[in-house]
Formats: sequence, C-alpha cells, structure tokens
Amino acid sequence: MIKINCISKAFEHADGISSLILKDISFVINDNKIYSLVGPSGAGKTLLLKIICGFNQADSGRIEKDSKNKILYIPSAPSTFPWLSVEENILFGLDKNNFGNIRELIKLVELDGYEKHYPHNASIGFRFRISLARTLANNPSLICIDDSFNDLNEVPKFELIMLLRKISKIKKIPILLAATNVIDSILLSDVVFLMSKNPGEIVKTYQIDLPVERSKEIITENRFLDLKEIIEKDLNSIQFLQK
Amino acid sequence: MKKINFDSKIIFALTLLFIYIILFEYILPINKLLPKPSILLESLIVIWQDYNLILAISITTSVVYLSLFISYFVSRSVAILLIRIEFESPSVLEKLKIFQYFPAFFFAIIFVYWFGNNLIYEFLFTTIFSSIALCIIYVKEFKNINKIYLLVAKNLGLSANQIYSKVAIKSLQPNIFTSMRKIHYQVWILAMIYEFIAGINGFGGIYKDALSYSDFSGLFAIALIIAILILLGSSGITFIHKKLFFWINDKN
Repeated sequence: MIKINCISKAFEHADGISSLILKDISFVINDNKIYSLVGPSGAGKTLLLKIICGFNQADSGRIEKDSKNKILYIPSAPSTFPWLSVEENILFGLDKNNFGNIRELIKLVELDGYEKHYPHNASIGFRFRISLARTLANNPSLICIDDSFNDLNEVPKFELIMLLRKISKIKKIPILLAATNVIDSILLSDVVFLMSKNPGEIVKTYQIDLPVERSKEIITENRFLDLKEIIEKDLNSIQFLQK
Repeated sequence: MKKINFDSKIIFALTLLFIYIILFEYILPINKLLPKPSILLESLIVIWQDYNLILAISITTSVVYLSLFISYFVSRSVAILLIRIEFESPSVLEKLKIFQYFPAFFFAIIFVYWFGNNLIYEFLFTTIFSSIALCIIYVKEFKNINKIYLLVAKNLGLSANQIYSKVAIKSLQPNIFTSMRKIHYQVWILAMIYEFIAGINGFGGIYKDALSYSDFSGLFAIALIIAILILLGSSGITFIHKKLFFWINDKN
C-alpha cells in the first residue's frame, strides 16, 4: 500500500509571486488496481506523478511507503533508448542476476519476435510496450504513467489500455495514470480522481464499477456512458468555473 | 532523389573539368593562375618520387587518424567530468571560452617553439587539439540532450556516473560524429600547418619544399592528393556514423 498524504507544492515565479500548484492531495493506492488522475491541462498531474516518483520534492505532505517499494515512471514522450535494441532496452539498468523472466515479459507485452529490433523508427505504441516491459523487469510496486496515449490512434490506444489492464491483473501491480481523456481513463481504471486547476486538488473520486474484463463494446454500454457523462460534466464545470 | 543529386554533382564536376581543360590547355596555357592540365597530370606522377609522397602520406595520415582515434576515447572520459561541471555550475566552462579567439595556428607555432620539430609533438599537438574540440562539442550538445533519457535512467536506479556514461555520452554519439567530420578536416589542416612550420616530413613539409622550388604544378598535384585523402577519411567517418551511431534521438 502506498499512501499519498496531504501533498502540496508551490512555485515561485521570476517576479517573486508564488502560486500554489498542488493543494493537499491525499489518496491511497492498493494492490491490483488502476487509478487515473483526470483533470484539465495544467492541473499538476505530471508534477504530482514526479513527486510520487521522487523527482520533485513536495513543500508539505509525504508519500508513505515501504522502503523496498519501487515506484517507476513512464513519461508521456517516448523514453526508450534509441541506441539499444528492444531486449537491451528492457534489460537496461538490471543486474545480470535479474535477467531471468525477460522472455516472459517480452511475450507479455506482445513484442516477441522483435527482440533484436531497434526502436528509433518505431511507433509510439511499440515504444510504449518496451518502456512498459523495462518497467516491469524492475519489479515495481507502482507504475506511474504520464498521459502516454494522447498521440496514439484509436486502435493501438485501445490495445494498450487492454494490455495495461491485463498486466495489472496478472502481475498484481497498481498503476497510476495521469490523463486528460475521460474515455481512456474510464476504460482503463478502477478508480478515477478528478483534479481541479489553480490549485490542483482532488475534487471528486469515482469508483468505476464496470466489469473487470473489458472489451471495446463496453463504450456503448449504458453504465459506461453514464460514467462518461458524469465525469465529463464535472470536468467541464471545473473548467468553466476556472475561466 | 539522392541519385539525381549525386548525378548532378558528377555533371557539375565534369563540366568544371571540361572548362579547365579547354581554358588552361588551349586558350591560356601560360599563366600564374592554374597549371596546364597536361603538366598537372605529369606532376601527379612525378611527385611520388620527387617528394617521397608515400612517406608523407604515411606520416600525416597516421598523425591525423591516430589523433582522432585517441582523442575520441580521451574526450569520452573527460566529457563526463566536464558535463558534470557544466550541469552543476554552468558558468565555469563559459569562462574558458576566451581561448576560442586565439588562432589554432598560434598554438602550432608555440608547440614548435617549445618542443622543436619532432613528429611526436606534432602528434601530441593534434591529439590535444582534437580532444579539446570534441570535449567542447560534448558540452555544447549536452545542453540539447533529451532530459527524458536522464530522468528514466535515474528512475531505474542508475548512479550519476552511470547516467552520464551509459546514457548522456551514448546519446550524444550521433552529434559527435556529425561534428567529427568538421574536426577531421581541422586536424588535417593543423597537422599540415605544424609540419609546414617545423619543416618536418609530411604534407606540410612537402608544401614547404614545393614552395621553395616554385613547383607550381606540384602544389596543385599535392593538393589534389590531399583532397582525395580527406574525402576518403570523411567518407570513412560517415560510414562509421551510419553503421554504429545510426539512431536519431528524440527531441526534448
């Protein structure tokens, strides 16, 4: 279990005026669930992920976790190393003793047959799979994914969302996603946190009570459409109020 | 598209050659601008013996390519340190920029003055020059490095040294090899300047002799051979670049 406890963060501008970016963010991450942070652009979702991953320091609040817990980050932009092959990318940073389950991981992210390929000309989806396998190879306690699906077409995006759900269930690893797209968040997540902007706060939490096994047809089902309507309405009202 | 480009270059070169032959073989055979093509052709054959060209080629190419080879590995190690300094206190290296206004020619003279006309010092001079040039490229290019690579490496638990050596330096290799062609050309020039000033064996020394003999066509014939050698060296660097450092880094 990882507890995010009252995280706040402010930035000081060049003119000396300070603005609060994140305000009292608190939630708990349990095993085997997928969480989404949904909010308008500039709500501080990426910053929050970076604080959780330890890249940035919060001004107040803390992340409660076991010292053994490894929180790994997948950025929104492709992060595979273009000079390494698929296999070398996945093994990057690992001790030779931990090379064991690489074949299984490559198969899990559906990259078998591409082990020796170089990713520099590959699609975003292909590169995301490599980043995902590399992250899994490091046995994380939580995977933080920063809005990685925005530049993807519908079909590869849906495939990746389903892949993430499958991996989360098989590996029992929680995932925290920062997203701007409500449909992607509902499709992928078990819990959605709605964030406001200026300051970024969690204003609402939605339990996504859709079946665990999801298919593309789910987006035409009534419950999905209801959830989509509720979250989009709340998101729009946040954006309207902040204008 | 590339083939058309290549063909047009050949056509352009052949046109220039044609004009040169017509103009300087038949219309202006006696002049101080360019040698007569037939005499140039003759010179291209006799300079091999007259100036001991094989020895000059061996010396200058050894100095140039050995310097580049060694400085490539030296700069990789030094660059890690420089990049860290640049990253942690960005203004330190800025102060050293004052040296860029000194002509490299001056340093060649100083080296000859200090150490005399010795081949070892020529090699030392070109190695120092190319190592510094490569280090400057590393520091300059590091400012444009994709920070995502560093962030991910840090997140995967790599130490600062590992991040610099396994990620930063590695990701800069395509940029280094793009600049390497320019540095390669500069090292050729500097090696010849050194040989010219010191009057030692090598192309620079041959030029000094050719100038003292007023061997007009010889000067051009030697230049042609040097141009072919530089072209071959440059093609070799391009080949290594495409073969080993083939990737394009993601933009920041």
